Amino acid sequence: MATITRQPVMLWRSYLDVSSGRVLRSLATLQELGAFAIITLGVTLTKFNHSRRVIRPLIVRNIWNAGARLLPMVAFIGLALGLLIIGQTVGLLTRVGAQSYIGTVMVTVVFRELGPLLTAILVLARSGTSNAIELGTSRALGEVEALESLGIDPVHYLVMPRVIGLAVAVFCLTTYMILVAMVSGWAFAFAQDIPLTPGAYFGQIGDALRVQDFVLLALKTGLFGIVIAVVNCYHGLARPLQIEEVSRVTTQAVVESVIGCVLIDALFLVGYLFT
Amino acid sequence: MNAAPLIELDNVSVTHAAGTEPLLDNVNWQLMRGEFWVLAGDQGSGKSALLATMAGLQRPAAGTVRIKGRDWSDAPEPEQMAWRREIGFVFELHGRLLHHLTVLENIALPLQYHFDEKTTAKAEALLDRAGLAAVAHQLPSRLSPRLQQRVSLLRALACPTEVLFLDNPLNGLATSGVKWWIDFLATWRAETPVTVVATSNEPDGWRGLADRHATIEGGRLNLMDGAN
Repeated sequence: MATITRQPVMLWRSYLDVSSGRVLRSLATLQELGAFAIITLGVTLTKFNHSRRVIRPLIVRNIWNAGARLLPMVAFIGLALGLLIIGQTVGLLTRVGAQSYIGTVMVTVVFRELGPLLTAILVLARSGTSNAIELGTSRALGEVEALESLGIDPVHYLVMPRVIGLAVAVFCLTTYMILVAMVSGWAFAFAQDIPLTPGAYFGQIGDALRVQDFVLLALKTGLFGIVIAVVNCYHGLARPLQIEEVSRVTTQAVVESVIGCVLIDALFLVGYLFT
Repeated sequence: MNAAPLIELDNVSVTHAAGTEPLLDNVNWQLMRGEFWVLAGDQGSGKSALLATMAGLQRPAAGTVRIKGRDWSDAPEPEQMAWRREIGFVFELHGRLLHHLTVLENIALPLQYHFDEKTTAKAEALLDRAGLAAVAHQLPSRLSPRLQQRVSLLRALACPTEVLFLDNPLNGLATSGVKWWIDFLATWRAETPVTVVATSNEPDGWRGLADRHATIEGGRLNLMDGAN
């Protein structure tokens, strides 16, 4: 009888133990990530111009890898996004006689929300994960210690170019995706015989856009790139790794990057509401 | 010879990089400029950890490491980085070359990073001197571990080096391989004086080149030849 009454208490306690353990671990990771981000910021500010002959080509290579090489994929997704949004909304808007809101819908959905978030997730899938794997492998092979023995700051050589590269890449790719989605949206509307001239369509978009939108877009996409790079570099570099641990930390980095990007998106939503 | 020790270990305890159990206790050692030390000991005795501690790459578990008279435990990061610019460290086995850079780029990296070298001419000259010009544009993974370690030596010597730390490069080498290292370092030191600390599984691994010997036995460092 005594065991029957104690069991729920023990279960509840063990559940609490596990939950609190996870919360504490998450907080510890968050703290370490914050410290890593501050170190990276410090190195970027103090050593930005140091060893330009080595660092600048690395930044360009990261922009190329994370940005230019993703252009076809981003164009494809942008095309699909424009078609999907116009395809889903145009019928509804026509039925209620609100065709003049097509541009506003495109700005709200593509420019402010889906464009930046989808691009960030594409960059994470294409470059963020490869960064975690590459740095995790370098760490496991002892290359980070080799850099230190050469007097080369690993954060300066390995992290800073990735952070700048990914921030620039996410911003540029988002701009590209938005443009492709806007144009493909109009093309789909034209193909469906919607009486909407290009001038009227882009006029609606222009009316719906504000200066703050461009500022917030630049800030948001830059932050997405920084978060993806910092989280993936942190997981690749922060602790001594064995080769077999690289896949596990990569998965963890992807999950945390997605959470980070969604949280930033939510913060910017508040920003959009108040501007 | 300058009378002040270049590196001084005072009651130092050394652990494995990832562990807490001391491998070596109460190590007292003075490294003077121009010396060539051989540190012999069995596999896993703590040679590599001691070497890393002397080089300032690893913090001691206890005791004091003084580099050029400066207590290393409270040295700020920029000072540590500046010291690392003056040392060369050749790691065991594959030499830890950067896998995404070619052999030439690996050697040129410290020169370009620290001295803003515009060309790779100095790195090419080093490769030529070591008889490795043919592999200049290959990735390290294409080379045998022995060649990778030779490239690692060239990378360590690319910048002006005050102390060279060699982590067991002669381990498992054939006679010709040992001869290459002995000849290369003898010629190099004749032109450019450099202090050397090399580890070896065999006490006479560096015969003819080393002038000081130390061994590790049972977690203790024994300095031989009456040194220190």
